[in-house]
Amino acid sequence: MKKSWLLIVVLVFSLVLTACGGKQESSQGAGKDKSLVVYTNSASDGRGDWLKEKAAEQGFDIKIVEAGGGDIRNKLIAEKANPIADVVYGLNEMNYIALKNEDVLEPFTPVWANEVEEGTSDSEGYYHSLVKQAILLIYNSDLYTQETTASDWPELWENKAFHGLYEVPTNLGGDTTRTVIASILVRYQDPNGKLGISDKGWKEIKKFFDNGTPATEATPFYANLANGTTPFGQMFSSGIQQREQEYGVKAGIVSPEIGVPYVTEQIAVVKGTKKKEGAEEFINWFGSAKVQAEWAKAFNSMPTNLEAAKSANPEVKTLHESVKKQDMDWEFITENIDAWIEKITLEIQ
Amino acid sequence: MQIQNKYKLKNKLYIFAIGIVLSWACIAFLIYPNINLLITTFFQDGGFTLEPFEKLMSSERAMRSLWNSFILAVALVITVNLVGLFLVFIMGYFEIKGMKFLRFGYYSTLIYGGIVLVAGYQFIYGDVGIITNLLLSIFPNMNPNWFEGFWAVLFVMTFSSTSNYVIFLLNALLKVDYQTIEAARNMGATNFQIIRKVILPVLKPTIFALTILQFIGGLGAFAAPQIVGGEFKTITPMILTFSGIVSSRDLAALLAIFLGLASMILLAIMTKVESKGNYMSVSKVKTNLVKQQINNRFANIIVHMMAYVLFVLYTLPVVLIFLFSFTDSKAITTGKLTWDSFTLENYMTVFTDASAYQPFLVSIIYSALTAVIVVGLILYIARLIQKYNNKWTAMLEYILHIPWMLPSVLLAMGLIITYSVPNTMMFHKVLTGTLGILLIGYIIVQLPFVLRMLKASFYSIDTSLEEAAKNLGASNLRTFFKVLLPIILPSALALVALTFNSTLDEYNLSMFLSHPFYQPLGITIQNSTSPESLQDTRALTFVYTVLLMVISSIVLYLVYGRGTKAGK
Amino acid sequence: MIEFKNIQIKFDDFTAIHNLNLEIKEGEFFTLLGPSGCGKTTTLRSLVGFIKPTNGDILVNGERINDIPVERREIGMVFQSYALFPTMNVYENIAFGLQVKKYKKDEVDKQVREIASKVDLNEEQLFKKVSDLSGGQQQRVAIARALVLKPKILVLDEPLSNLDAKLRKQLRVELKKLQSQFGITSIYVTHDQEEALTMSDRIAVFNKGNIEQVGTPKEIFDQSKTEFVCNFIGDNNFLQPSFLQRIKNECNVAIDPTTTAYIRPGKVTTKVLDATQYDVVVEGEIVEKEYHGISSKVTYEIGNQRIANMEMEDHSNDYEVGSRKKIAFQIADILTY
Repeated sequence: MKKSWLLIVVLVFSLVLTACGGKQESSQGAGKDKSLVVYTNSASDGRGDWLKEKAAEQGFDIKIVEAGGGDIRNKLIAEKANPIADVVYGLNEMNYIALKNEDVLEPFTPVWANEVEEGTSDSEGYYHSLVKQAILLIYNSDLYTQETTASDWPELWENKAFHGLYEVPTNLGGDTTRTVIASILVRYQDPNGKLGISDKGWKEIKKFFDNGTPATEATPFYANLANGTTPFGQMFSSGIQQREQEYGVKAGIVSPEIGVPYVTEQIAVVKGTKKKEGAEEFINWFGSAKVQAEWAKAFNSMPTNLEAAKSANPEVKTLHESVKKQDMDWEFITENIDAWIEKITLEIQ
Repeated sequence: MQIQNKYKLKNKLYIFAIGIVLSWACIAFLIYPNINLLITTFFQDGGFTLEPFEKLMSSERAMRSLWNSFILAVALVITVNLVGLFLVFIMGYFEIKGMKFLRFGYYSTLIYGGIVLVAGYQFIYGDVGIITNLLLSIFPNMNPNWFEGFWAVLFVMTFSSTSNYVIFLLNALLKVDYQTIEAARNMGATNFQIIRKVILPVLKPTIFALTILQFIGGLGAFAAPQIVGGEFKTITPMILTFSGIVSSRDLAALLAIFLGLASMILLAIMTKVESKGNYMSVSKVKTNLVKQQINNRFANIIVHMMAYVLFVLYTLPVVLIFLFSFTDSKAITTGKLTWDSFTLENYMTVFTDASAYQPFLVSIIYSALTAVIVVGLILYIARLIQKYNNKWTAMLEYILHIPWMLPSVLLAMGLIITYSVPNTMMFHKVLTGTLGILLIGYIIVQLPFVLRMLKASFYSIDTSLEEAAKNLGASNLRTFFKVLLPIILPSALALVALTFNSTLDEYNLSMFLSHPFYQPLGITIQNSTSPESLQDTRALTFVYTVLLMVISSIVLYLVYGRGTKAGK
Repeated sequence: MIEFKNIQIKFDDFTAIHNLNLEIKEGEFFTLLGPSGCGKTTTLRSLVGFIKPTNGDILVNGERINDIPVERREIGMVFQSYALFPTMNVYENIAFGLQVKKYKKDEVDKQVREIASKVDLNEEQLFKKVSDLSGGQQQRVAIARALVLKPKILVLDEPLSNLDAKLRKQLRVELKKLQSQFGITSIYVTHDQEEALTMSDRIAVFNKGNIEQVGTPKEIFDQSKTEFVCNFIGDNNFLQPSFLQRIKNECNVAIDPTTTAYIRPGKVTTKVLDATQYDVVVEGEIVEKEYHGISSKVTYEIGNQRIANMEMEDHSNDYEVGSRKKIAFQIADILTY
């Protein structure tokens, strides 16, 4: 009996210690304006550590909280009255529109606001674009060539030869997945249709799910791409290079006539932050052409900052030059995407 | 007279204060957030809408998920009872060679559960799993994704639920008076007849209660369908999906309400049956059960074989997880093991990298706090309920059962929606973004189980002990701490252990309520099972799992190991 | 009818029964009596078949039954706890054995009701839960359950040991009545000597795995063969060597003062009309009187020897503590060892 009490006492004691430690940290932070909490969906593959390190050189003490785009958005909305985050970056425009509508963001114009590609940032200055990302259909180039691959998403379900050979998402929360679905559905925009999409559109998306192989929790898509289980599937452009090395497979990129969806990843100040100045300073630094260029080199991203874009990796530039941007109505998509996902979850998937 | 009045007043004040505090806690944490959630979801634009109901009714998938959940619950009840009864009888009734050793295997699912356990099974039987590789080398044409869908879910859940089942039923079996068995034998009953007509009827109430709990567990299944379900979809993962989409939360709430209603009905049936269907043992002197030899040689061999096969099924995941926690990520993803695969790096990372061991510490601290607070609180409340048996305490008891009727996701959403803005109920303190809200959530979900168990042990105390203590002049407080608590302590400690263990790898609540800086282990593990994660984090998962098992085992040993020694 | 021949029973290295030889006659009410741990229950269980003797034979009607399984021995048993099935009602409890033996339903019903009426269980009680019955009723159910199978032998393992004194006395009578009514050979295990003396036709007194004495209650009591039996059964006055020496001298009786000697209370008389009728007559002082209602236990002191005696409270013995009285007994009633 004594032993277990001891255990409990030790545990409680260690909790108190940790709690005190936590407090110390935050109280230190309150004094120092440059210790920031950053929410993002884009810290994987070493991005987070890189950012922490580089920011530290500038005197920033960065704490990164990483989760999926939708989760970050929900978290920010839930914490609206008592925000923890100071800065949020990396989510796509759809999420930022929602955050802006929920009154979670603080308008701010960074010093580099004019250097970025036109039309990629919020016109009212609530959020500003950092990088653009093409959401691609890729294939295993050992098994297929440019001639034998499907030429666009619809061919995957229209051509029986590809049935079962492409991975369809099971979890519809991710930004990449949502963009792919949107890119298919917006081809069938119809004001009289259900949720703004014609019946044909719904039939097509159903075929997409019916004829694909659902992703499993256990095996990463790239492993299945490599071993030929599902040689086709979705991928965001900046993720390709690193995975090619990891799995030792070269991905071919499908370049459909209609174009590929581009999303822009944004950065913004969270409303209610107690370190507004620090947050703004951080954004000014992180979005600058110099940092974005380094970021692009390190993580194969495609900056929207025109100056930085020049120093993007050649493969990345080639990739972005090789595909056309699909014309998509993001306001329309943001308004409807949740309802689409709900409908797909309920009736199609 | 004056003294009497003074006591009366003091007592009244005390009761009044307790009443206020408890009422506030019940309303603020158990009633108001849930009602608030329902109101905000169903009265969205000022009026009540049946739209979500219609949406669900017309959704083939939602209806199929409901049906699947129901089927799973029914199937689970059957399999858990079959496996569980078999285990209970070979552990407690029949003489099985090596049982001292085997029993550890059968209890192995006590030391890990939920997402961790399912991930472990998936790792072994999944498409790149060890067993699958082995089978593929024998049957090259078989489907590597064989471990998927209904049967896989049923398999995993059967094994993960039986350890608990066995603990409770074994206890009931040991209460059987051996003389009744001898009496039946004396009258010519065979082993089979004795089991069917003498032992099973005695076990029936326990089996019934466990069956209902199993059924509720099956309805609300999350981890197994999520990870190995494949095309076989059930409700809870769907609730989770919808709760992640703000505009679809009404659907999540509606599905959750359905689950809640089903659980409520089942629990009501259980309480009803429990209250009238109970028998009372008439044996004034009980003889302890003596293990029976299985006389039929053939049957004996079969039973032994089944016992050992089950042992292997139970222990294989534990052993392999342990083994693979020492290997590099390549071995883990391919399931192929060579001598070069072994490394201590994973452990080094977990023990030296703050970001790697932090989730672990966070979970341990949260779980310990949850366990101690819940059991302490319920000790007090159970005592209150036993002492003042009136309509208020009866109501309190019902309210404390609310978390059993609502899926934890719904509870979490209720807390978030209600306390993400300043609310009078919480004295205008915003709870979201604090460390406390997750603790509150953890405590809430553990309340019903702990209450039920502790109440039972309070009622099993001979009331004359309390009267004796009072008669000897002990105060209420003294009676409680010196007389009642020592009797209850073993069960209370056991509950602390169980609560601690089940909170360690909790996921659903953690996902909604955890502070972004202090993410508990469940989140880390779930993240690392997701396909997007890099391989290194998967290796860490195994280390986490092994460490979880070690901690759970230590806790269980401290409580039960000690207990059995004291029992002897 | 039942014969234990050279029975030895060992549990691992503990020998519970050393070398038991015992014969029980048809229709007898036979009691195995002894303190706990003496081997009486072990003997009973070896007869029923729950324990296999390590050595020796058990014969029933001349047939060796050592290897016959429990259920074929046709021995009904009433357990210490009655072992009534708590999940079944009275009727189901009694019917259990018949159902196991696959009797037809109407036959089961007939027999259950027949035996129930014989043990005085009425229709209403038949369908009660066993936990709703009184101790006496439970005992009757246990007996009915054992007897409905028409066993050749009925064995009872301390069935009265957990009841209060009054109920025990009452049930003792009832049990004996039932036994004589059915006329069935019965073996009864108890540690209560009063129970054994009042109910049994014959008694075997056990001690440490051996039988000390077999005999009728009167034989056991009046002529206890061993000191153990003498002390285990009933009250005793230990007679000191000095007292023995004194009566040897004064009363001129042939007794060896060095032997261990006892005399039972009740074998002493105070109504000495003709002193020549008794072997020993001495005068003692009444030093203690313990009132028992019908009788009193009166203690006399003769020198340093105290002798207690049971005397009826019928006004023929109304003497005060301190008065002196002549007491007498026969030399044959002294038990020597």
